[in-house]
Parts: sequence; structure tokens; C-alpha cells
Amino acid sequence: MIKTICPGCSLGCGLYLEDGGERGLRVWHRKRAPANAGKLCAFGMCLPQYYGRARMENTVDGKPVTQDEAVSEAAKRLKSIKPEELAFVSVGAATCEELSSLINLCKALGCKNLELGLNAAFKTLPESLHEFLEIGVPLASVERASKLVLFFMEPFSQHPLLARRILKAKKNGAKVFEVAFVGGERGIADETILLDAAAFVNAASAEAAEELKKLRERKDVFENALIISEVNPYTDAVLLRELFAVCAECGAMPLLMKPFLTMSAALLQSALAPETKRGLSLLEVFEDERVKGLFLLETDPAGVLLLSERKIQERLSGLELLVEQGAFRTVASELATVTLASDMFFERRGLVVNAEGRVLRNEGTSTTGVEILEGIAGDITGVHRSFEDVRNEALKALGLEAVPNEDAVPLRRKEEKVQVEPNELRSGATVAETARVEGDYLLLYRTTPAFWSGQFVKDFVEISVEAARSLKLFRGDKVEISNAEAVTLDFKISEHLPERLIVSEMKLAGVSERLLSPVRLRKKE
Amino acid sequence: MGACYLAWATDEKIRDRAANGGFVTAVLVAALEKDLLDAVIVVKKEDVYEGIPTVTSDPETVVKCAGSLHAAPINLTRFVVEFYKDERNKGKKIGLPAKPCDARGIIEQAKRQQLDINDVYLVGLNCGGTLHPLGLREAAAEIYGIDPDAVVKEEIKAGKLFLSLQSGEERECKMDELEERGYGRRDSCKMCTSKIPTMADLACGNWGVPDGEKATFVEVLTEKGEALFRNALENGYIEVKEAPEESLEVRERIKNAMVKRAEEWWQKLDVVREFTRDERLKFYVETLKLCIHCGACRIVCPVCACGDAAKCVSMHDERDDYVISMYNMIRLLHLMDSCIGCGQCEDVCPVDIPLTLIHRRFAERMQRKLNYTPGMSVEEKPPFYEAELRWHDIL
Repeated sequence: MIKTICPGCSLGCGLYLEDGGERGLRVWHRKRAPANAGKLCAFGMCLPQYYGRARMENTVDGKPVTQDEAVSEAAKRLKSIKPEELAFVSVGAATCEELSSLINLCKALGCKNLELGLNAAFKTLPESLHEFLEIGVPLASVERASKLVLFFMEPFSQHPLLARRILKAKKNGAKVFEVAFVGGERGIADETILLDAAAFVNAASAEAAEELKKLRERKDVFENALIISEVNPYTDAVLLRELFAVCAECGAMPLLMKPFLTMSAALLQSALAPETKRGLSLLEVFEDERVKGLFLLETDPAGVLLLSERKIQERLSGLELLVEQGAFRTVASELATVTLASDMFFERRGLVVNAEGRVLRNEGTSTTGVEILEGIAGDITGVHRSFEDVRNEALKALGLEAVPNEDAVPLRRKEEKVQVEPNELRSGATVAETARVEGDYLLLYRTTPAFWSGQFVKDFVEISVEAARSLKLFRGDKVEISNAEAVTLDFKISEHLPERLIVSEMKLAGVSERLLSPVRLRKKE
Repeated sequence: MGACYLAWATDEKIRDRAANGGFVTAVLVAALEKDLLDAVIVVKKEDVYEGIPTVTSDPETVVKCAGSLHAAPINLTRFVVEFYKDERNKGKKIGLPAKPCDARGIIEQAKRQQLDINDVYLVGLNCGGTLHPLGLREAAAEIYGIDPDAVVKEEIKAGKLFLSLQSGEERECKMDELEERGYGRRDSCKMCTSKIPTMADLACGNWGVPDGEKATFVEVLTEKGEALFRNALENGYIEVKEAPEESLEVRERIKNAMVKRAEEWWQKLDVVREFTRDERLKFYVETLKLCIHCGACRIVCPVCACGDAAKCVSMHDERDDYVISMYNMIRLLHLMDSCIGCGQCEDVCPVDIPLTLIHRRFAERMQRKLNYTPGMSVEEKPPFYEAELRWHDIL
């Protein structure tokens, strides 16, 4: 049995995985794990499936090679691309040591485009607020809070192991508010402040600003509250800035959850390569034609992007160089110039930082991931570092002398409160892309660990009672949701949904490339 | 009642490591070394707060795992079932130290043809209850005022929880006091009335052992138990003496006191008891609607043997909008005759639904009505077992 960390989000849930040979992997609950007391969500319970995907192999130009050959070829080809035309992306589950090695490689090549999932948010907020993105607060303090605000966060879906902390807070007498386009169906909030989703198709619009005023009028909600939200590569800049403006105005404290482990380790980026925080964001990497070479570390583009596989492949096939290092084959693997096979996350030795700032050990034995990255960097710089060298660098970057006890939360913010001029944040909001197609309904993605991994998702959408009535839908019917493309799906009628809102926990690639988009909804005849 | 003895390991090393006289370890080591068993499932101690179940044929490993570990609330049933799912293990004889809830779960699995009970040797352990590891860490800091990492040993005796420190110092606190302050045993253990594993092959513990004696009180309950006992005795692994009448009385008295306390806890923890009918329904709806359908409670349930064909899964459709999902309704019905109240479901529930309480409320009345206690004997089939719908009769 291996003591490991769930790679599903940034909570850092501990568990045991046992290799049952021909009968596959088995999950056992590790009740001693401090972040989750051994409890796991549906994603954690499905880890054998997650780890059962097709494995990556070492290849160069599609031909099988040894690891050493792939490493040396990757080094040679990476050197041939200009640094400003290169990008390094790791948005997924990598250890701190692997990220340190990736940063080292990126710096060795003089590249400033390094994305661990937070660059869009880094560029949205002033540097003084970056540590609030990087480090949360101890999850135990959620239980002790007297007031909690769920800011566009549905904990039962997005971070179920956080939901129990919120329920405990309620039991302890906390008041819970939620700010959302749709209220949580489990009724966890004492009060819901509903904002009109239609206004936020363009969050920088006057309509959105008008809606946000509703929040500013409710200082009683935010005063000294703990505001829980999520930041992901698609987080709307306007809403993120509003969150911090409200925190500054009301003395509230943000706790930002993240859907990927690499995002929790972005403080390594701040410490080791701060210049890369202004580099291309995940979406920009896939949109910017100046990028000619891309290195993907443990990143499945079809999982982390809302783009269709076809679009991703179109973009990737236009690259001069694509190097992919990972445990599993992805949509990118067929197109990659060099693929580098690493071991699965649970097999790896390494550290992980969770959303609250806890440093956790992943107790596999494999250091292959680090060896590959250090091998490439060594070929370029002539300096070869051991795993221990890399670990020491990562610990130093985290401000630690040794690997801390898992029961401690050693990484803490320096600033107690958000200090920023709220109106500066509000005025600086960037104009969001306007919708390309008008629709009579709005499709809202409810993101879950499964959503971001592109695995075992719910294959239906939720629609309102009114929508079902107006389309004369009955059990067994199907709906068609369309935008640029159309998909046909099952549906669930949810009483709590506003009339024109559709909620999906599954990516409808081709229909929507954003978390909130106008779409058409029809009964499929 | 079976024959009762006071017994201890002849090996000093085992006696030193063991909680009592080392009888349990010595019996398992003897069974491995003399080929009575092919393997043993033991819990490997990581520290006071963590233990990992391990299948081993190595007597040294068994010796290393000697001693109690109250803060690793594991039910070993699933490990036994998984062991026999491997074709290579079919027909192998295994033994394990088993709390009453382990033994009851294994017996329920045997009834459902997941294993042959004749292959499994249950060395039963008296059990006053287990603790959640994180709860014990908190208690160490909050109640005992000590660094949880400095604790090297825990022991429950005479109604007190003792924590030993690296320095050799020992701190104690009454279990009742701990529990009144929200620490101590898991709720399922507080309410459990199954204290002596009379359904196992041997029942072992320190209840009834005279003060100052380092021995294990052993009751031999079955032929398998007799075989284990004789094998250890005849090959010099243990020494025994007949348990004096006084020991039997003390053991019975302790058991009765613990059962009485458990019944009091049930009265106290059953908050739904005083509710009106409408309030009860509201409680069940409000509580079960938190469920995220991760399926963990089913996977860890020691009496569930449905596997992939589970009706609670196949009949559940997330598109339905029932106030209580089919998953939970079916599990409630399914467990009414079979729930052994081990609390594993609640331990792993990601949203902390009080499943022990809910299942017990349904199961207790049903099991009383059916005059059936699950997990006591392979011979007693669950009353709802193999229910069959005859569609042609209905139609």
C-alpha cells in the first residue's frame, strides 16, 4: 500500500493505493490524513479508473526510443527554439520537486513563459495580492469562522471535502452566505445573493457592474467574513477583482481553492522565477501564434481547456516543437515531437502543497519525473542535480529547512488583511470577450475534479422547470444544446435553477469555450 | 460458554510487545510456523495514530505487529474478502485478530458466499471501542496538554485512556470525561453492545485477568479455536492455567457494565428519538440530501457483498429528483436486517452524514422484530436474503 495524495484538486486528500495485480488498483481510506480525515469524494473513489488510462511511452517523432534518447533529443530540440517562442505549461498534478526542475529547465533556456495555472490571475491582480492567490488559510479555521461567504463556489461539487468543514462551521453557529448565479441545491447557505447570470456573459459590461452593486450594498454579509471561492484558469477577471475589492472594503479574508495541485505550488514560481508570472497564461499559450515550441508537464490539454479536442489538435499541430512529459497519453501525444514517460502520480516520491499551505508527502518511490527534467536541463547547462538537490531547492523556495510534519500548516501568508484600493481594482477590470453567438439560454459549467480531468462525468445537463415546461419535455426525451456546434443530451429538471440557466458538469466542447456562455436549447425531435 | 483460561506467550519478546500476555500473537505465530495457517492479516503499526493492514506469512512480522492500536479504526472484513477474491488464495487458511465488528462482518460475508468461514480463523479480541486518529491527536493537545507527536503508546484500562510519552511519563484521563468533552471513542463504538467476540473462534482480552498478572483471558469457542489453542500449547508457544471462577465473574461484570454504558450512549446519541414523525422525516431528508453519492459508504460496508451489481447503484439515477435518493433508500432497506453498526460508513462519508445513527435507527427495530442479530453465526441467514420478485405473479 502506498500513502499518496489525491491528484483531483488542491485539497490534498490523503489515501492509500494498493496494487492488486491483475485486479487493478484499490483505494483504501487513510483516516490519519490530516486534510481529509481519510474521507474521499467521488473522484477519489474513482482513482483506479483515473490511473487506468493508456500510458505514455518515450518517443521521438512517433518512434519508440529509450528514456535517455528522448531526454537528449528533447534538450537538442528545445535549444533550437528561441526562448521568446517557447512556453512551459504544467497544469495538473506534479510534485514540488518536478515543478522546481521544470522552473530550472525553463530558466536554463531563458524562457519567460511558464504557466502553472495561475498566470491569468497573477496578471489580473497587483503583486501585493499574489500571496492570497498562492496560500490559503488553514482549513480548520473554516470550521471556526463565524461568517462564511461562498463566492461562486458550490463546495459539494467543486471541493466536497471542504463542504464538511462548512457544515461543521454551521454547527458551531456560523452564518453562511452564498453569492451565485444559482443557489446550492442542498440549502447549505442561510441566505443566497443571486446575481443575474445574463449580465455576466460580458463581466465588464454596465449590466454586470450594476449587478455587482448588489454586493457592495451588502457590507453586512462580507464584513470580517471568510470568503471561499475558486481560482482556475478560466476565472473571470472582473469577479476575481471584485472579490478582492470586497475583501479590502470589509476586512474579509479570502480562501481560494484551486482545481489543480500545480496551482497550489505556484508559490514556487514566485520564489524561483517571479518574472514568469507575467508570462503567457494557459489560454494565451493555446491562442498566441508566437508560441512555436511547447513543453507540457503532466498536463492533459483536453482536461484543463474548455476547447474541443479538434481545436486543441489544430493548434498543437501548428507548433514547430511539442514536448510532452507525463504518465498518460493525452490528446497531444499523437502530435508531440518528443514524449517522455513518467510514472503515475501515486508512484512518485515528492512533496505537494495543498490549498491551505500544508506540505504533504507523496510516498511513492519513483523519481523518474525529476530525472527526466534534470536530464534535459543538464544537457543544456552541463549541471546535473540529484533529486535531493532539487528537493532542497524546493524546500528553500517554500521557506522551509526540512520536510515538515503533515499535521502542521507551515506556509502562512505574511499579510493578515487584503490591503488594496478597491476602486483601483474595479476600474482596472479587463473587457471580457463578447459572446459570438446569441442564445436564448445560458450554459453554466459547474466544475468538479472530474470536469477538469475529463473523466467519468455526469452525462446530462440540468434545466429549469420552466424550460422543461416551455419545451414540453418528458422523461426519456433529449435536449439539443447548440452554439457553434450542437450536442444532444439527457437532462435533469432542477427546481432551484433560474428559468434561462442550464448547468452542466460535463464539458460540451464546441458548444461552449467559457464557464458561462449563451446557447440555444431545443427539444431533440 | 467455552472453556476459559488465563494464557501467556512463552516468548519474552512477544510478552513485552503485547498489550496483555501475548497470547494472540503467540497463537498466530504458532499457527504459521506449524502450518495450521497459510497467512495472517495483522495491522502494521506506523505510529500511535496509524496502522496498515498487512497480509503476511512471516512470523517476525506478526510479532512486530503485537500490541493494541485503538486509534486505527479499521474493519478487516474487506481485506479478508479481497484476499479471497484473488484466485491464488482460494482454499488458503488465514487467521486474524478480530474485534467483534471484524468477526461479524466476516461472518456476514461468509453467509453471502464471499468466503468459506472454515478457512478463516478468528482470534477474537474483547473491544471497548476504537478512537478516530485525528480525534486522539486533538485530545492529546487539548485535554492532556501534550504534543501529540510525543505520544508513543496508548492504552485503555479501567475506564481510562493512558498516553505514554517519549520521556517515559504517562498521562491519563477518564474515558467518560473525554467523551463528555467530545473526544474519546467513535460514536458507533460508544453505542456498540458487542463487547466480547463470542462469534469468533477464540475470545481474548484482559477483562478478568487478576491485577498484576500479565496474561490474556481466553475463551475457546469453536473447533477452529480449539485447534489454534492446542497447536500453540502443544508446541510450547503458550502456557496456560484454567481461569478461576473470580476471573469469569470479573469479565462478565465488566462486559455488563460496558453494555449498560453503551445502551445509555444510544439513548443519548439517538437525537431523533424525541422528534415527532414529521420532524423525523425532515431530519432524514435534510441529512441525506447532503449525500454526494461518492459510494464510499457502500465500498467500505463490511456486510455488503453486492459488488458491481448493487441495486443501490443500478437503480439510482442522478437525474431523479427524489428528496431521498434511491441510493440511500435502497441502502437503508438493504441494511435493515444486516447492519452491524461498525460505523465504517460514517468514518468515510465526505460530508459527515451521521450514517451510524440513521442505519441503527432503522436496523435496531427491524432486527428486534425479526429476532435476528447479524454476524453471530453463519447458520443464521439474513431474513431478507435472496428476496426475489416474481414478475409474472405481479403482472
